[in-house]
Amino acid sequence: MEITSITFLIPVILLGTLHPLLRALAWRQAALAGLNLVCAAILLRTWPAAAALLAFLASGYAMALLLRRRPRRAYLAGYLLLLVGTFAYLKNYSFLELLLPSGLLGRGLVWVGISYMLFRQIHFLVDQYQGNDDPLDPWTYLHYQISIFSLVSGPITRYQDFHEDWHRLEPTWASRAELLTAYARIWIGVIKVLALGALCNHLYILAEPLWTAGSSLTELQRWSRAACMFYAYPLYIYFNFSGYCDIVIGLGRLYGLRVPENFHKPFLSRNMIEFWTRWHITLGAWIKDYLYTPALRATLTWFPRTGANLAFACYFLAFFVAGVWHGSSWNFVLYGLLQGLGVSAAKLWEMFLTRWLGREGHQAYLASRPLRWAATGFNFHYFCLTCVVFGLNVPALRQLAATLTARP
Amino acid sequence: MEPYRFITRMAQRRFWPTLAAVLLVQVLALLLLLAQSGAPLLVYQGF
Repeated sequence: MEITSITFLIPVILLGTLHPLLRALAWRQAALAGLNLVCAAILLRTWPAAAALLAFLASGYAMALLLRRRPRRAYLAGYLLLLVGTFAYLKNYSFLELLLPSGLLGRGLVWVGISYMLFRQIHFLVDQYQGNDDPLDPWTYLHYQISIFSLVSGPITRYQDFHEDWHRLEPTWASRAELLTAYARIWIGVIKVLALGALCNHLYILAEPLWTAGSSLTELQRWSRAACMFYAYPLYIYFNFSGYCDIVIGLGRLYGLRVPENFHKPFLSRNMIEFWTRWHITLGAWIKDYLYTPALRATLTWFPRTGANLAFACYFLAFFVAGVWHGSSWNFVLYGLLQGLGVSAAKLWEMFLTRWLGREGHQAYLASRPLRWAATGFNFHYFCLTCVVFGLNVPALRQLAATLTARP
Repeated sequence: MEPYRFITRMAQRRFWPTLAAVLLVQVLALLLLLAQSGAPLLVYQGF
C-alpha cells in the first residue's frame, strides 16, 4: 500500500469527507481507529513484525505507567538503552559488524515507520519521566503510535498534541475554506511527489553511469551529469518528502487531526542550524529537545566554566546521531558527520562573529541582505553535498570519485 | 507557521474561483495518479 496511490487516496479522502457526518466523538474515533488498524495490518505484512510491534507498544506503555508512579532515572535510562540497542540490532546497522560476530548480527526484522515510532516512544517516555500529566490511556497511545497520518514517514507528532486532537476530532466542515485548503494540500502534495519529485529523480538517474562501473562518458558529459545529480537529488528529496507531508497534513485535517508542519522554505536558510528548523522540522525539534538540550545541560554540569563554549560539540553529537538514524549503512555515518560538521561550524562561526564584531556588529551582519544571500547560497551547496553521501553507498561513492577524477 | 494559509484566505474572500482552481489541481493530480505505473517509493519511508 502506497500513500501516493489511487487505491489509498480515493477511499481515504471519501471516508474523510464523510467522517464529520458522525455526530458522536466516539463514532468518529471508532471510524479513524478502524482505518488505522486496517492500514497498519496491511503495512505490517508478517506475523513476526506484528508480534514485535505489539511487544514494542506494550513495553512502552507499561514503562510509562511505571514512570508515572516511580519517576526514577535508572528505569528510564535502562529502558531507553534496551530500546535503542534492540532498534540498532533489528535495523542491522553496518557498524555492528565491528562489534558483534557475524552469527549474532540482526536479521533485519523491521516494520514500516519503526524509526519514527522509536523517536515518538522516546519523547513519550521522557515526558512521562519529567512529569507530563496528560491523561494516559492505552487506546489513545496505540493510535498515537500507529496513526496512518504519521506511521509511514512521520512527522514526529507530540503525544500532547495528538491527545488533544484525538479527544476532539473537530469536523472540518465547520469552515468550507478550511475544507478546501485540506483538499488543495492533498492534491498539491500528489503533484509534488508524482510530477516535480519524479522529474528531479529522472534527472538524478541520468547521472547513474557515474557510479556504475564501465562508464565511457566524455569529460563534459561527466561533469554536466554530476551537476545534474548534485542539484536534482536534494530537490527530489524535498519534493518527495514535503509532498508526502502535504498529503498527510491534508488528510489529517479531513479527520480532525492537526498533523504538524514539517517544511518551511528550507533552501532559504542561511546556515545549517537554521536549516534544521525549516527542513524536517519535527525531527529538528526532536533533536533539539531530546539530544542537544540534554547534552548541553550535562556539559554545563560537568564543565561549569567552559561548558558554554562547548555548545558546538553538543550540536555535533546531536546531528551526528540524527544522521546515523537515517540509515544502517556506512554512508549514513558519513552523512551524520557532515551534518554534525555543518551545524557545529555554524555555531562556531556565530560565536566568532559575536566576539569579533561585538553584538551590534553581529546584528548588522545578520541584517545585511547581500551577506544573507551569500550565506544562503553557500548553505544550499553544502546541503547538496551532504545529499550526495545520503543517496549513495560507500562503493558507489568510491566509483563516483574515481569516474570524476579519471583522466580522459 | 502555515505555508498554505494563502489558500484559506483566498477561499474566504473568493470561494468559487478558489474552488475552480482546486478542482483543476485535483484533475491534474488524478491524471498523474492514473498515469503512473507503480507508485514511486517515498524517500523517507522505512527509516
